[in-house]
Amino acid sequence: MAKHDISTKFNPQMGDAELALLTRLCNAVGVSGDEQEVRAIVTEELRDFADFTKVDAMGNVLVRREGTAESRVRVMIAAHMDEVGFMIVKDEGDGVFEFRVIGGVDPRQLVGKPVTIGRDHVPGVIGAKAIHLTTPEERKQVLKVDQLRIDIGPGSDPKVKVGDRGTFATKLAVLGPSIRSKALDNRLGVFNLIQLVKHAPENVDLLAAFTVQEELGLRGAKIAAFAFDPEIGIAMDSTPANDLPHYDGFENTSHNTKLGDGPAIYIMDRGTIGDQRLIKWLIESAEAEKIPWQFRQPGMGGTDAGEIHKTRAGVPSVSVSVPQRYLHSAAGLIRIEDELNTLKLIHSALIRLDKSILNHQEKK
Amino acid sequence: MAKKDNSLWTILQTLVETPGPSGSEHVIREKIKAEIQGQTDEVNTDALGNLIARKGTLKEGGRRIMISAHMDEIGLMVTHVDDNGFARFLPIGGVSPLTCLGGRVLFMNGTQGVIGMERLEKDEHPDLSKYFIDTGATSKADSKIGVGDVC
Repeated sequence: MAKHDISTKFNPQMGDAELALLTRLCNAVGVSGDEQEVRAIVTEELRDFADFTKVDAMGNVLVRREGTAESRVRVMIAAHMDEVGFMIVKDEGDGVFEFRVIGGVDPRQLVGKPVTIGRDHVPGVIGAKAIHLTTPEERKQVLKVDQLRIDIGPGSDPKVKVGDRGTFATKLAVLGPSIRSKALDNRLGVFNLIQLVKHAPENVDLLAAFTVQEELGLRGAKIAAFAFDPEIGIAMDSTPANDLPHYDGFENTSHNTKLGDGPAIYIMDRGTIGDQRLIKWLIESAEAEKIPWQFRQPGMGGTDAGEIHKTRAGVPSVSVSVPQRYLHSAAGLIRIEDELNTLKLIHSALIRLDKSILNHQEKK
Repeated sequence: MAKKDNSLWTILQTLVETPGPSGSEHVIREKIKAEIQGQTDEVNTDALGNLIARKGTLKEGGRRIMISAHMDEIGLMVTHVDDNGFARFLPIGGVSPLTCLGGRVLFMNGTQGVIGMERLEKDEHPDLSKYFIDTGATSKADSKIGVGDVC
């Protein structure tokens, strides 16, 4: 096997090869329940690195890479492959389709957006009446999803059918120190997990779960964690940054995260209270390696950790996310340095991991 | 067994006065463990921090019975400390805005504070997003608590 070295040193870069992989991942269409394009990329990338690979009953890709050290911790890292999008529910003829959203998409984000539909990536647009024809009253209303249609043009591709999924047609773009894409949530996590398998530390058995249907309620992670039965769980994801300049002259007390401040470590979200031992481990690793980090403000939202930690007799779990502006829209935006620092943090934390972290100790 | 002050009153007082918001049960867990140690056949702390005690010997035809009591309580978690040292927070579990206004709080790290509220518009109902904890700090740098601290 042409494996990379089991590594103690790994300095993540966003070179041409890495950017090409991230671009393929982000431009792939993988709306919840139909993640096959992403699954194909993951399987192909890791063919030569895995000790074991399985596509499970729901479509999760489960990859195991064993370390070489005598004492190893079984660490499951999850990154969901799916993204939010749409599903075609009715063919109204002349290339016009009624649709519903899959996952959390703000209906205000929809109007006028170019989209791609189905496995053949048929181009279309979410149309609305031109401004010339609207009344002042209409312009104050938010159009509901069932009032909107996807238009692929009359007489066009007959391949689009009811049940097809679609997503925003945005292609990845590098904007100076940033990246803009439709699916950074969570192809960044997928990208990072691929890198971690390729550069797996020797002191862990890395149980990589590329999960399905996270956006619909952490469904894939539940069965992946059951199958892996890990000692520790980590979810790698992306989380909103609401960090634009203050408004109303008051301090912004609910930014969630800030771009450029580094990986976001979770303390509490709607589904999980992060394990305090693991949070401490991540922070100590970041400080030792001088990697910037931030807490994601405790609050709503959640990650695959919400299911992982409740698996079997319990799995201490924590989440780490890359901060992203405009999450779940046609174009999210991240800082490349945050992405690389997230990967670096997890790798350097894994290297210093040993079983003693799982001892319960009374904190002073 | 050595005689100690183990009246029910004392035990109950210890249990209710020891802070243990969800996810921070490590202190109360040790108190409970100390109380039952020596009186059970087995005591373990599981992966997530549950304290599991087993007592008794299973006889033929006997039953294995699980009795569960949660040792966590509701609490608050800091989400932001502002430039003036005031801490914004979220509830851990169901905390009513009406009952916590003016309340004194004790953080797991020993820091104390009191809950205050921004001025409301007439007829506006209080909402936790308008509340803050004043720990006496005068700035963010001065604050003894930060994001994620619980009370």
